[in-house]
Amino acid sequence: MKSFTRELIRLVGRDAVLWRPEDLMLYEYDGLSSLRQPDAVVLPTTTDHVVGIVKFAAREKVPVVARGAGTGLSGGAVTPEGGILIGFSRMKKILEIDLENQRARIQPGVVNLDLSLAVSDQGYFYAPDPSSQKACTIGGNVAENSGGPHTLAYGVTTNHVLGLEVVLPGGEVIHTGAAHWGRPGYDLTGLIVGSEGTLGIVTEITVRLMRKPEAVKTLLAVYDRVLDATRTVAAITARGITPAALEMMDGFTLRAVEDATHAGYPKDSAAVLLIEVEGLLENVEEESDQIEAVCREDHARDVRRAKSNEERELLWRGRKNAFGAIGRISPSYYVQDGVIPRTRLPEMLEFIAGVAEKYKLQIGNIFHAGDGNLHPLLMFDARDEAQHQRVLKAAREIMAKCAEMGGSITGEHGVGIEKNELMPLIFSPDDLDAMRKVKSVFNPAGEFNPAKLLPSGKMCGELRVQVSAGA
Amino acid sequence: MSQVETQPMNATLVKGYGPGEAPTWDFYSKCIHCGLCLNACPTYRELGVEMDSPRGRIYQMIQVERGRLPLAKSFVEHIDLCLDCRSCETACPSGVEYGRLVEAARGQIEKYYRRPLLESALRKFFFHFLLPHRRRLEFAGRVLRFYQRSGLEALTRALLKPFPGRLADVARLAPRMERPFFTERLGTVVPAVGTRRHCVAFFAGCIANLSFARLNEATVRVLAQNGCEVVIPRDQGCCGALHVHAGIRDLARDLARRNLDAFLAEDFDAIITNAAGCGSVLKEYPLLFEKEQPEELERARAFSSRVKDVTEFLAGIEFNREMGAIKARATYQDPCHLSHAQRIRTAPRKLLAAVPGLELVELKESEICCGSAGVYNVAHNEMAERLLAGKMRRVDETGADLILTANPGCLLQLRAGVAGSKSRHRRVMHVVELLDEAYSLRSGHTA
Amino acid sequence: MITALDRAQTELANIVGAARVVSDEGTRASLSVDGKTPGLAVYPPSAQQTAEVLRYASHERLAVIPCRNATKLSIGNPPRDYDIALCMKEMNRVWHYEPEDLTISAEPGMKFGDFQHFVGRHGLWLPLNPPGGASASLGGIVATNASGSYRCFYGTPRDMALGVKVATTEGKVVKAGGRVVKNVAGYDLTKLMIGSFGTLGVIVEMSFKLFPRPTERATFVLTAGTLEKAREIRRALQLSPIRPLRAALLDASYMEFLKESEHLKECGGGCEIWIEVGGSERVVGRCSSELKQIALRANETFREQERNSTMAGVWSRIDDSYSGVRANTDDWLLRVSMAVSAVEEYMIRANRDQLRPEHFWRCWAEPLGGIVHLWLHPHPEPAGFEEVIHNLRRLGEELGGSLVVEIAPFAGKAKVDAWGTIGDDFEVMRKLKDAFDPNHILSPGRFVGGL
Repeated sequence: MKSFTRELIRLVGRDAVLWRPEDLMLYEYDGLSSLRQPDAVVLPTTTDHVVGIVKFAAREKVPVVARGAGTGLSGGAVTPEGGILIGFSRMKKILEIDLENQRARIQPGVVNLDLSLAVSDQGYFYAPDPSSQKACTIGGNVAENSGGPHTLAYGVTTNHVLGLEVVLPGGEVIHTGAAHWGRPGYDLTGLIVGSEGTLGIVTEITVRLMRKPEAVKTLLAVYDRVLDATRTVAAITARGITPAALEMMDGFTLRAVEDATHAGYPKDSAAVLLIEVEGLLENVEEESDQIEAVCREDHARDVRRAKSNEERELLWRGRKNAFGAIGRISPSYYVQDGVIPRTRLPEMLEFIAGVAEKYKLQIGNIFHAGDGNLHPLLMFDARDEAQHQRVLKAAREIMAKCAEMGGSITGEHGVGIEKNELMPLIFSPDDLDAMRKVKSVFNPAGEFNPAKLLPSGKMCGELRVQVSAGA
Repeated sequence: MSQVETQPMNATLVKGYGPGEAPTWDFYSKCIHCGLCLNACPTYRELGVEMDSPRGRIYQMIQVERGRLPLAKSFVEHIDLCLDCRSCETACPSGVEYGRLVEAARGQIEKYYRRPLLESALRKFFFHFLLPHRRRLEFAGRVLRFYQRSGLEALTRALLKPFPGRLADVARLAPRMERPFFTERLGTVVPAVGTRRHCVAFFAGCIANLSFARLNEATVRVLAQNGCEVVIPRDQGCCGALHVHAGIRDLARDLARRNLDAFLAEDFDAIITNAAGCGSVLKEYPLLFEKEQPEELERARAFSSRVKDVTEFLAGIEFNREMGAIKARATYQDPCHLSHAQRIRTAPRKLLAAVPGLELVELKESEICCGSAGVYNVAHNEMAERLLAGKMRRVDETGADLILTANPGCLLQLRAGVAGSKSRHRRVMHVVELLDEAYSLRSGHTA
Repeated sequence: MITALDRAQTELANIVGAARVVSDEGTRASLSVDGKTPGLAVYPPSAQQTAEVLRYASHERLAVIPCRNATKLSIGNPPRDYDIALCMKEMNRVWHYEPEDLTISAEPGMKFGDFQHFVGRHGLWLPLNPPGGASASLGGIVATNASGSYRCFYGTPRDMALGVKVATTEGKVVKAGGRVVKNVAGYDLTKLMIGSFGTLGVIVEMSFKLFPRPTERATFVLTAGTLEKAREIRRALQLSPIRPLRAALLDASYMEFLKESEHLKECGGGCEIWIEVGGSERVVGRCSSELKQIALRANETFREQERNSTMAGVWSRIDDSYSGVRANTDDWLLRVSMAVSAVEEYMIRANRDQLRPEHFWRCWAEPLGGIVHLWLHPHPEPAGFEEVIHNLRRLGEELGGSLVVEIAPFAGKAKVDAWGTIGDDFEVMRKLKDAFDPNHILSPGRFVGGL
């Protein structure tokens, strides 16, 4: 055992440090990819532990990377340069629930869905709902500024975080934001949310809780042509309706989903829209009718309304398990996370079809259509190197198109080590310099989550990510 | 897969897996390491380490195959600590058959890893000497019953108390022996009450014949109340579930073949079990014969297609709703091998909803294992106790005075939980026992 | 100083053109802030030129305050220096308006009223009601994260801005965020810039997501008698299925004021809760019946406020007390933010322990937003009056909140900090200021902790 390890054990206890190679091996991956192992994994239970670890790391000049559940899709929780990995899996207490003020104070390791379940009986929920919500931690959500299908109406993580306790690279502990609106000062909370663990390590989060709506209605619109489905999306927003969720799956994806979940998606259709409206009973009824009318105008073959809560949950289970369902038919695939103005969805879909043809790839499409957030899934066989290369080229072409349309290269998965070399597609050197300036204020030595988020410039914009089986 | 040509049995492998069933690419390649299984895994929830998560265990299996990780102590510990509750299968969006993987890994461990002497001897005694043999089991049952009733048990517990470690805790888990043993009923036929509408075979289990004799009796009565003629084949025996979970696959196959012979002799509408753990393995007999002894595959499929959990069977027919009222606030714990392995969740709830007077409160995290997991609570008592403590906290939240479940192992564990809690008045029952009580209240027959 | 400014005038004229650099006394006086008058007023016509002005100013260490007309610069501490008024009124164009996509990009000099009118043609709006109302500028709104009573439903500019372009003191135009509704690429500098009161850079373009304007809106009034009763009603409102667009709790002092100023006849003596709901006719009808139920259960009266000038007048007073207060140079306007649960408690205790009749105060709150507004008109101001403000601030902090002085008489500003206590995150804020404005030329001394 190295003295390095001994010191960590002294700080947090023997039971909370992993140092044997056979254990560290299990931390070389997250939801994206496998990379270099950390030199040690530490599992703190208090902020003091984190401060101790961070100060120790600063003395030793080793990188520090924070990890929630390791479900992220951009490699945010792996250690490309080794160092200490701080795992928050044991720091998962809900510290306080204050229903009158609709907020909760939690430790970062609390699983997203667990928070909603904790307040569900009283009629509340935590709004951001990434597809991985049954496993991912809110600490990880804060790092990535995670979204989810229902962010169309509710906004993403940053709209639901009120305040943070953050450990800075020097070991200082700061408290940003407040448990209420309007504390004066720079919006450090807003800056740290989505900073992917490169500015500070969050040790406590105050989040907003929402009251459950009185009524929810889920509609499934079925199309024979993908273009009609994408046209409906803009048509709905143009009518002044903001559904709680507006999701699209193309025929290929929905067939995989249907085989996996038997949710009732029509396998012979070209695309479906999964639309949810909520609010007062009256509101839900009216909007459902309006939406149905819009769908039919755009040639929907059928518009079904979920009749029961079970049917609704089944449809959503299908949607939320979609990536995995694709895993059944193609062990390796590369998920993209582009964003475009939603009015340009029809054009984008044609473009993606063209890319698929050009590179001889199968591409499934699953979109948070209401937000214009695309998740094309590029399928390949990891053992076919040539095909793997074509996937990377195709992905880059799709990202470039998003940028050209005035969009973004990531809507909710984060940049991480996956897309940092693509940042110049949407940001100028000056823009990136401003970001570096912010980073240098918080993390001048660059020891917090190194090699993530900002381009290193080393790879001249080439995708260097090794897309492993299924990533 | 690494090719190890001539591996002597019980030798420690240097690299990769040895010949025989092993976790293979076909099954683990579906795992996209998305991590959606983590929070579904009881051991991950408790320990928070990747090594004790389903994703991590699969990753370890892959690394063993690739030769990066030896099939040695560390690997064995993490694979052993898995409850095989298969909660991760429910969570998995990609359809990874984790149970198959972990059971194959355990098969490799059983063959190629040398366990410490005492552990090895105990396993041999329990899995090989005791479980497969009805006579030996019965004898052991009589001894245990004498021990429990003579006051010796109380004495032993008192004597064990001062000792460090978990001996006393484990002793507490020994099942109560219930006489008359159900073994007496093997080979008999129970006629249907009223019109005979189904002819079913009852799978009685092994230890359950001794320690759950009353549950078995209740099951048969409930089936009869539902128009079933119940045949209890004489030559049936242990299902082999514990062996499969432990990786003792050759013996499991022998046990399976015995049951194929016993149950395929006649053409039953269904083969009914009241034990979720047995049921899931009975339904998966074909997996035992896919690679080894494929000549039995056809019979295994014929057998498995008929196997039904008693709740599944009843909920699938026009079941008898003529029940007396049972006034209680109840909650239901999903047995892992019913909800995850067999995907049966609504059937027991449907039956319970039909019991007049019963107020059913949903148990939060009812899909998480109570820590019973076959003999897990004996082998990994500390983890099992942690899980049980968490379970009892959730039960407390419901305010229920009746805990229902659908598997004997879970009954034992939950009873231990109740006995160790402040609310000792709580009853723990199998769903079928409750139905039996409800029917008897209506028809006046005595339970 | 004169020579430096003369030189500056020439240099700045090279950047923006001579006509856009103004030094006449009348203009300069109209742009004064807290008694300080700038030496020059500069009217940059483009983002790049704004950046170049800033680079020059930074290099020459000339203090700059960005504004449109400098009519609403009362919030904040008095500036340490003030050489150049950077007037953005010429930058009032709209870029990239996509009504079907509900997104828009516009320049900071655009007036909020013009903006609303522009997007209103498509039934859209930016659901804000900032101080200053229609005459507020977009740049000012974003720089101060100004909202109003709609914030309890729609949030603040922070929740609506998709991206900003900022002119920096290095002379660059830096983009943050984008024009799409979902975007997590890179640091969220948009959030950093919003509400930074122009102390880090000057916003030269901003993109918003727009919202469909509710087809029907209606205002309902619940009487509450006492503040304790108001708390009961607020709790009932929180648990009801309806989500009001805005709600205002007007205490007895404010009702008294309304009675005079708006000739409000219906009101009795106690508090009232004004609630606006929106949606279709059926939805509004449902809200009405829910509110009626709440009133009934609380033994209080309920009325639908007619859609007349009184209603409009009351809402605009609630949202834009600012403009009313500014007319009186001796007045104080305070905003106390806190947890929703503390609102009534604060009002009760402020009323009981701190406020005296001679302060001529009026108090109202956003019960669902957790904000209490206090308007004090101590005329003449008693000696040591700032102690009252300190006590009101202490009370807010005791209840976990914070008090911001939005408007104060010139003399008062010297004695009371506008922002209040700084937290343990101030050191980071100071470093951010140093990184973006190393020579401290942007609104120096005006923001939190003297930034």
